[in-house]
Amino acid sequence: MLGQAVRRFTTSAVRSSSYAEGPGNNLPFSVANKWRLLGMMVLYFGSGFAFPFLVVRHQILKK
Amino acid sequence: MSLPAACRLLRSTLRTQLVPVANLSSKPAKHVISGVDKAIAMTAFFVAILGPSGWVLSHLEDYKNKKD
Repeated sequence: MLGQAVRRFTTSAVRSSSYAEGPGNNLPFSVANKWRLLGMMVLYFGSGFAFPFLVVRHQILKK
Repeated sequence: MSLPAACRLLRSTLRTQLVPVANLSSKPAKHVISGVDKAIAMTAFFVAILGPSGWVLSHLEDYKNKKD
């Protein structure tokens, strides 16, 4: 009974909203292509993790 | 804590039954990721994390000597 009520709610919500809904569609990035996603994640997490090390390198080279 | 008290606590945890409150079920994964794909992804993440930091750390002596 609860399942039927949930299905009615999601059907009406999809019809009234202009945005895509469902898994992978509530994100600010695309998950359609897994290799493009891998590239984006490598850049995102890699740049964040490398930044402090590059700062240390810059500071040691400076003075 | 005394040994008999510890035994009582252990026995009560062994006796307690875990009953699931929510009726949950799941299906197998929709997208298949092969072993080769997993190896490529794991290698990419390991290199992304360990690469730049390892390079900087291994050249620290060079940076220290270069400034002098």
